[in-house]
Amino acid sequence: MMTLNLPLNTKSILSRLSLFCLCAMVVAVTLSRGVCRADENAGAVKTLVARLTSGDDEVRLQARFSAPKIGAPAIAALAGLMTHDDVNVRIAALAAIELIVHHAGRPGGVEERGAVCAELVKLFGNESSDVKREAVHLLGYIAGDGSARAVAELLYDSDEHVRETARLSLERIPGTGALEALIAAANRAEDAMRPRFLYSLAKKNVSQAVPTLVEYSNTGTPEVRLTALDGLARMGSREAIPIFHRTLASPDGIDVARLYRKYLLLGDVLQESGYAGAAAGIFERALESAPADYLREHALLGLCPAGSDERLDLLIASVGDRAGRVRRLALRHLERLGRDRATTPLLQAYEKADAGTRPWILHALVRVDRQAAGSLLDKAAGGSNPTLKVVALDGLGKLDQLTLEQTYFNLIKSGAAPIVPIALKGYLTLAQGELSRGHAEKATEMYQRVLEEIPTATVADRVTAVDGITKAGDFLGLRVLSRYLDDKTLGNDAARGVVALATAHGVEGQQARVSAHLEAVLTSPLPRETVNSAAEALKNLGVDPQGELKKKGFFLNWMLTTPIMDADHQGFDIAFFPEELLSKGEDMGFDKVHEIGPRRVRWRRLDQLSSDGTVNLRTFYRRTQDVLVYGYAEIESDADRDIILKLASNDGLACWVNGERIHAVDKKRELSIDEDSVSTRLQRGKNTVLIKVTQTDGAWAFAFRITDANGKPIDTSTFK
Amino acid sequence: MAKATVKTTRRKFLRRTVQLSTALAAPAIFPRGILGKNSPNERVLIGHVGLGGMGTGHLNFFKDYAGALCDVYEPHLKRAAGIIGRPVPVYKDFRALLDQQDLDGVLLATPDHWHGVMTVMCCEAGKDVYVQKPACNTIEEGRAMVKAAKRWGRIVQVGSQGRSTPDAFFSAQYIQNDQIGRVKHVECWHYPNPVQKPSESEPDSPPPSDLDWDLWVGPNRWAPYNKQRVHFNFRWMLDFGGGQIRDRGAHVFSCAFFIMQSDFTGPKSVEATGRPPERGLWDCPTDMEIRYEFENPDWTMTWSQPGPKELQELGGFGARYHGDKGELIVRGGDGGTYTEEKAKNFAPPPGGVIPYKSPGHEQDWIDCIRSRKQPIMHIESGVRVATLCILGNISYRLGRKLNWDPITERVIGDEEANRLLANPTRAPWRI
Repeated sequence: MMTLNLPLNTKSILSRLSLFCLCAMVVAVTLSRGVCRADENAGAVKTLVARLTSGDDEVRLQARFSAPKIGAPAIAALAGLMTHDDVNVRIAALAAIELIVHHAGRPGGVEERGAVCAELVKLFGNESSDVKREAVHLLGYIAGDGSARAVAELLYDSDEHVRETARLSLERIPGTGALEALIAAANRAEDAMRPRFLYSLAKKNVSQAVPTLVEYSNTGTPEVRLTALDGLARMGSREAIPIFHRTLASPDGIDVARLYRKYLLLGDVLQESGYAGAAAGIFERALESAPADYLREHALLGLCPAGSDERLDLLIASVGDRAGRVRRLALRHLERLGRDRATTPLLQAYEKADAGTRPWILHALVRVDRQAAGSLLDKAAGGSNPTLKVVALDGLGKLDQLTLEQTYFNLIKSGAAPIVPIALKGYLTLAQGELSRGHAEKATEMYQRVLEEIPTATVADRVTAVDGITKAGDFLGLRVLSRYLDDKTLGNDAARGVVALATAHGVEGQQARVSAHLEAVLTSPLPRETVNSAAEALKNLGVDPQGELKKKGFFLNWMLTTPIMDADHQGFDIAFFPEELLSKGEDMGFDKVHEIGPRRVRWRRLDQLSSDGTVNLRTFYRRTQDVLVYGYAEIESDADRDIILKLASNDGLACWVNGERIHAVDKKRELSIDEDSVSTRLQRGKNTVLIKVTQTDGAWAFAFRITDANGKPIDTSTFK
Repeated sequence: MAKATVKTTRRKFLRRTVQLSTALAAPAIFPRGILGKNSPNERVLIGHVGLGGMGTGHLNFFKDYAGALCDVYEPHLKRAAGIIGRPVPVYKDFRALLDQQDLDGVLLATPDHWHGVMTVMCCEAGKDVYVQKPACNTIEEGRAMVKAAKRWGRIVQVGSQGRSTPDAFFSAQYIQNDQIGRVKHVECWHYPNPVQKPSESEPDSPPPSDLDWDLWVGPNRWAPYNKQRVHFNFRWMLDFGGGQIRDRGAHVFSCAFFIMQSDFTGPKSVEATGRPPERGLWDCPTDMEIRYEFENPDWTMTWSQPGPKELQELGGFGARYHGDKGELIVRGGDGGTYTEEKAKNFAPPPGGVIPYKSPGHEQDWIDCIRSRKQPIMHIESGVRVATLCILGNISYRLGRKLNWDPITERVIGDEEANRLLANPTRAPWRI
């Protein structure tokens, strides 16, 4: 290198000097630009903060949109606004940070992303848990390995929601940093917290997670082991198979049904990943030994997908399974295969089958190919095997064999799973036949047996029985159905039957006998329309369904408004209608719609029965929070008389009589019947009553009882 | 003896009266509706989870089917118990309901952020599911729901009931029989999302004692209790509901996919813009414009809040179908779906297309529980429709166009957007 050996001369010195100066100038310009940019950023941030703290909504909104242009340098200042007194400033500041994050997250925004992540990480030192939580959440969208360690430190924050958000963020952040942090957290966590880290690890779906999951699938609490197995199943790890088998053999505190769900999940994932053999082994074991029908059904589905005839033998064997779900699935899939693919195998299987299996193969054959089953059905229907005979008669559509009543009943009582539904169908067919022939008493007795003597009957069968009793119309049915008014699945059907039968029998002069049954409906926990229909039936019999309450002085004949919004609970003192005029009987448009606040308000008649004299507004309306209603009534009195109004409410209550406000309680309170007593006077002729009942939340009701001046109840049914 | 004879005669007369009137003229003797609207052999038992406005509405249909009630808010639970009357089991935690073996299905009318986790858990418990729309909050949830339904052989109906209405059928029949030609543009409109009024501003606070707030938040990342976040208002929060594009978009898009026979497809690109509310906790955009491009065949769907004036004047929301030979306007898209007279009066020619005719959305589900056939808004379709809503909101949040691969269900070339396709679930919930 000749040039290196040259002595320094003036020219070269000057040349080097000029080069140095040039470099110095470049550095100076660059620095000054940096300083300028920093100044510009500082100014822009200051402006942004000023605009975000503006009292003008639109200025704040536009300020957010400007934040991404500033980017990372704005984040610290914006975080400072996240604890501002004004909630709208807090919201705008967070929204601005989010815009910065998403702008940096755009394709090609790598450089900005790094700066934004760094600023977000700095917020982990913020005193506010809200700030930390939002920062770590937003990092999840854009952070890479570089931020994972910092995020992981928040797994040990003092605030539980910060800790959990950090875990969620690590689940989202790709790369080894997040993975290693989760493994470390899983190892460090107490048993109660470990499952959540194991789950996050499994969600990573990478092979590095497997050893940790395998380790914890063998050790720890049942929840830890089950979560680890769940993770391995999600990942389709074949290493999990022997662990599952060991655990199934000795669950050691793990719920077996949940364990089988995870086991089946492993089968599903393996099957979807192409490991059909391994999956089949899992499904076969589950079909054999899973503890619930729906688990075994899933196993069969895994082995015999719809449209596949690879395991036809298994499908045919399953048509006689002990579980209805499994049988039905097998039948559906055989039907789907159709006569071309299923008839011959079914016929061959029938020939080879023993007496215990034949009925179910025949049953399946009827579903798949009725024609091919024809001769077998005729032969079986005339045979001596009762199960095969009943199945054949079902296939022939000839279950209505009067001589078989006891056979059906015996088969039902035998409890042999596959035959019970068919025998019960036969028994119900016979009952229907008796009904059709007009043998109502016999039909009622048969249906009654279904309800009372066959605990294995399905809901549908029991409803059929109730329906049959109702249709039979026998008086005996009234007593039978009344016993089921409290039944959780049959109550309403039974009640409707009681009303129908009582209506039919009551018109023939048996009012006294049937009204007790109807009154039982009134006091049973039933839907309003059913109770109302019973009340209507009682009225038609000349019995006032509320008569007893009216004798005690309860007044129940109200027109009520729909709920009026009272969000700030100031409505007690606000006249949403001209109250004085309304309470004088002025027509305020009872048939009109009134625009009050944000809602339309209508008047409607109280058509809900009371069980204890109170009017339950909470069950009368859908909207029952922060509202109030008005109630209006007219009372015809045959003479001037002093009375006492015994009032109660939950919450506040105001009351006007003939235009005068006579009572007001504006407070939240529980209802206690007769809590308030107000003396007033009814005039001869029409009297008008207006009440207003307020409501915050929870229970909402009022009671309005009338006594004479001595406290003796006035029978309000005497009022017109 | 004469008395006995009279009695016997009367009993026979009464039986005949009841039998005859039941068979021929039930209303003449039985009060209206007294025998219920469904025949007994259709009866299945349903567990109801989520008993707010929608859940209560469903109870009216399923009153006789209800076998269990569940809600995290006690007043809702009590109200529902009052509606059905019968003393069925009630639960605060739906996991306990799933252990009830006699339930055939579960109706989920919870806020959106619960749909995915609950549907998967219901399937894994061997229950059929009716899940309110939109089916899912994330693409990951949607895939998990489809997989769970398939693996467990479950019937899952998504509650976009618009496609079960007669007018959706007429619209589909009209367009599928080429009455407006090839449809190139489906132009959806909807009025804007609400902005919280200054007077409605509420500070975060401890939840009321009768609400299990932790269970309400469930799998979502935690948020403090606020009256403006809970019950009906969840709709206006991006993390929980997602605004009109989800609440009603799931209806309008469902009808559009039904009419366009696009149930198993997705767009190739999505581009959304919008204006966030200028104040308040609710963060869904008030105004919004979204453009979805589809290919093979090529067509476009747009969503506009509030939409062109002439469509706004029709009221509410809906979609205008632009074909190369004409147009059809379908208003609404939920339970209230209304088409034009020309579609209602149209009779398809011999050999013409007859779309699937639903007996009613809930009834369709019940029928399918028994027949094991796929319902009209099966879960795959529900997820594909929800995907439109999800991608629209992601594009809005990120402020950029998304190029979507409907096969792999990933955003092409946008790492951040792909991270938004899943929401990690808060413990102990899993998807």
